[in-house]
Amino acid sequence: MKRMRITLLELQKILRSPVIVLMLLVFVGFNLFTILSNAYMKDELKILNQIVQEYGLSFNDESLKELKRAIEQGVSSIDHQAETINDFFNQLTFENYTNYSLDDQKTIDNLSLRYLYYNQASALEERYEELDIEVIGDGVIEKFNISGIAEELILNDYEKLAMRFDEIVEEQEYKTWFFAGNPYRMHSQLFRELMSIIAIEGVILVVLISAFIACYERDNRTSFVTYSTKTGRRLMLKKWYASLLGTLIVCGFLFIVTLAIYFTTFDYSGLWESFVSSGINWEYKFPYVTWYDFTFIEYLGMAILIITTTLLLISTLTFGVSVFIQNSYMATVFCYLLLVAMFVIPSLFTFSSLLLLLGQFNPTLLILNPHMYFNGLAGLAGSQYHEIITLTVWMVISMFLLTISLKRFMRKDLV
Amino acid sequence: MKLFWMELKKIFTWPVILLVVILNLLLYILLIEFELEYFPNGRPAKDVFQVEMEMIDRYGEVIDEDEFADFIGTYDERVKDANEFLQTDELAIKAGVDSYEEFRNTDIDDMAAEEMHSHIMFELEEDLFWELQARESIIERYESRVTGLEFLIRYQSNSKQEKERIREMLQNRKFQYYSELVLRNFENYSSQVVVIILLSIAIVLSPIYIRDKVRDIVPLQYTSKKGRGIFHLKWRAGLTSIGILLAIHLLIYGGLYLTNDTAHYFFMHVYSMSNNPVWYDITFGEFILLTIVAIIMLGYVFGILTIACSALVGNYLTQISTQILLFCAFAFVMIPVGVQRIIETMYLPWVVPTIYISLILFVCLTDRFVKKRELVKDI
Amino acid sequence: MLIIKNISKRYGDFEALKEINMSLENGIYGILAPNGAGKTTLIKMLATLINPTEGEITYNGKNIFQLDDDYRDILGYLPQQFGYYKHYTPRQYLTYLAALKGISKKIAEARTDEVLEMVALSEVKNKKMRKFSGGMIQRVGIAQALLNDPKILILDEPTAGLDPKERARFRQILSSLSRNRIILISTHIVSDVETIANEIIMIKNKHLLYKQDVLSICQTLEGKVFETVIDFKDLANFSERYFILGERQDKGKTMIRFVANEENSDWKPITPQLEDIFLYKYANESTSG
Repeated sequence: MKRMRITLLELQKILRSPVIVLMLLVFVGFNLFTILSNAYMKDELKILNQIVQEYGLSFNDESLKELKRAIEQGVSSIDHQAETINDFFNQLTFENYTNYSLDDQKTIDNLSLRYLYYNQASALEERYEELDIEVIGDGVIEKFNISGIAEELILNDYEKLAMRFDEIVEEQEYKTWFFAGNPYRMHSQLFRELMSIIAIEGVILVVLISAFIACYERDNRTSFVTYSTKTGRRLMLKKWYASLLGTLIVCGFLFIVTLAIYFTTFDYSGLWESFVSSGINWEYKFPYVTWYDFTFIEYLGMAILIITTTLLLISTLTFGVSVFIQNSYMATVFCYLLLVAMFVIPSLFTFSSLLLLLGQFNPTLLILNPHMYFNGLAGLAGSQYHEIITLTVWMVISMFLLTISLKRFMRKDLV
Repeated sequence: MKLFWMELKKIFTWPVILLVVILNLLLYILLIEFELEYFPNGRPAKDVFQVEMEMIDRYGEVIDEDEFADFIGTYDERVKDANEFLQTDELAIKAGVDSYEEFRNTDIDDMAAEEMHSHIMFELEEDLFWELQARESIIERYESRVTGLEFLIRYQSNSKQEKERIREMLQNRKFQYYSELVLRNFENYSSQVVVIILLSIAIVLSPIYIRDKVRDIVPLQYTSKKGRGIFHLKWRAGLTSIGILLAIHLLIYGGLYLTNDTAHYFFMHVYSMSNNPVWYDITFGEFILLTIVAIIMLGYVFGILTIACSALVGNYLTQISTQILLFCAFAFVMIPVGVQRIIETMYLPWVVPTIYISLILFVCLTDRFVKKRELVKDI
Repeated sequence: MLIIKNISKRYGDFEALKEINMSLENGIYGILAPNGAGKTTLIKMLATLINPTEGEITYNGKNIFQLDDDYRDILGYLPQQFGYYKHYTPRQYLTYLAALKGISKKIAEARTDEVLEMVALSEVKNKKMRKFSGGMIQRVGIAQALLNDPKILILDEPTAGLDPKERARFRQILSSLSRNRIILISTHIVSDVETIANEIIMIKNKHLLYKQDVLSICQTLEGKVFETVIDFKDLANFSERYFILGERQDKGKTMIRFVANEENSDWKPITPQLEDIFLYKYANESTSG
């Protein structure tokens, strides 16, 4: 605690500023709004939890048969004439539907949702058989016009991914229940929308906090007093710790509050252990083919970890730049633009396959695509160690930058 | 005057100019390039655009029954061309398709037909078939021009006023004859430009007062001969800078917009090229001018609020944070309502004018408040 | 003992200090020099804020830049422009600086109160500094320099903004502290140090001019300072030949005080004061600021 004293005091200087608190509140308000604007489907989603409770988290031919039988029973209890479920739903016009009693309508809603899951689940085997991972890989190479070393790297990746895909099929990993990717797209909603919003909000705050902690003495013209104390210029190091700590606090707040709202709105209770690679979670053109058999809760944890680590890294990068520039305003604007540049510039590398591929390994793209973490079918960003490589490389870059700029600061004449 | 120039120079420092240039380059690639390079975006949009340009030359804004018959005549001729093409095309023969009618109705499951279809449409890039698609969409729109508006009255209108407006349009035969791709492109383009302008203003003007506060030279200035006049001088320099930034951006991005070659549409009414009904019978050219006026107003409102904020707060941290929140408010509310859909009947007719009037009032009040506060403030 | 050995400082082509040598023992030293003479450069070097281009500074035989925090641990420093956090109270600010100075939390609180008492700020110790006058801020600055009971106390223009009463009090504080530490006061106001400094250091044109006690410095002009009364119209003529230290108008006559290398029976020789030496030696330099 004694060692933390100065670090905490440094952090306090920034966090006692009411605008930081105001921004946090506005951001959480925005997140709440985002979540609630999708909340209309939360009741429909609950059906899946019932299914999981009744038939278990993973499904097979046996349990699907049972599910089908139950739906049939339900259908015939409502309409004695209907021979098959299909017949029943085919003849169910809007007018027919409104003629039923309210209770019956509820049952019909329930049955039709169950039927949706049944249909999707029973079609999976065939849909997965039709997927040829290596052909998809060729498609990526063709689409981005990749050649040379980059092509070899990608082909190699897809070869490995094909093995992993076979494993998913063999181990029946894809046969676990999850919210139907089509139409609900809950994976995208949580990871693509909400998590990347949190990440952007985090970036806005983290850059501000880090730049202003780094330039605080300069801004207040207190450098001469503070850097001539016993702590001296090592204070800058403590300030770095303070901005890391500030990053964690901001991240923690945004994640905890937002996710608490999210998970109280949407009931995931039966699905924590479901696989992200579940075929039911098939949203767009391809299913999620994750490199590792992450359950939903593991994946969520990894996403939080990756975003937090990236923000720590961005904090370090900003801190390094700010120590160098020693002008909080310029440093902040510069760092924001730098992060935007990381988003824009890789798309300009169409002239070189290798650069195009390497350009994918950058922190901005990483935090903006949490729904694609560990997904082999993530276009150019699908290699097995994409996340870990990006983080490691940028950790090295930002630490290198920080070391240089701290070293320079330690020797610099303060005038 | 000399002091005024000095204040202007202090606003446009080299590092600030550099940051604004970088911002513009990045956001050009991110937001603008697409609207310029991919206009009209894809097919048959490209072909619709071509056909429409021809139509405007031949028929003008309003297409009467005779002109429509002429258009159908052209279409039939093109269909004949298509038939001829199909009768000589190898793949078409193989698939047993020898007329455009059959070509349109090919079954997706028929492998040979599918191969022929994608070969002609995508590999040959034969314009004829795309053009036919484009003409069909125009014919369809023409034929449903009355029922379309009737449908809007019945199912889509939100307010009494909107219903009335659409009825009036029906009565006076203010129909949509052309697709809205030019209009939508312009609306998207102009709102992206606003984003860039607002961010540039924020970067340039945020430091205007804080710069001196941080260096603590304010007491020095206030006791000098010019006294607190410096505050007003800066204020005027700030207003001038907003003007400069607006002028430069509007010139550059306005000039770039002209490369989209939409001049044909300038003298047509907006309602004749918009899926969504609009309140006023203005031409597309007038709409462009209105948008420019709106951008200038928004620029000034945002800019003055930026300057006022800079005068009120004591440090950059507060300034940047407020700027971010202010920008978000503009990006999520003001740009969609006040620029993109400025004349659409989606909002009641008084909504947009009220927003602008209250913004201007608010800015005037802010101006008064800040200047008054500055006069009595202890240094 | 603080020894300055052959110190030079250059910024590119600009030379701020050249070959300064001196040693300082316990006691009060007044650095007298007009602005721009290099005294702030020297002081910032002693505060380890800037590095010498040549030479070294040692404390008890060890280079202060190598001693690093051990050196700064015994250093108290008030910079010329004392910055503070506007929204902090003196107490919060000093508690913060106490942490930076490595003073343990327990001691810090008592010590903060003690130094605030010394500079007579106890009553406002919980008020935000935003509203403080220049003199009050300066006293906070003096208080923070004393926080760690420094063995070396360096004060750059400490009396700026202080009223005469506060100045007197300040001199009193310094005298009481001077017994077992090195106190270095930079100023261009002679009266600040004249009575309390054991030795005066004068820097001119980047070089060390004097480092002597007040008496010996004054002796350098012994017998050369005179006083006389002349007609106002003769003043111009007179000032061409002699260096005027001061003048006073009185009933159409002008009483002047000046330096001369000759003697005249009309002139009354007087004992040179430190102020006289200061004016005489820096005759060609601006003393403003």
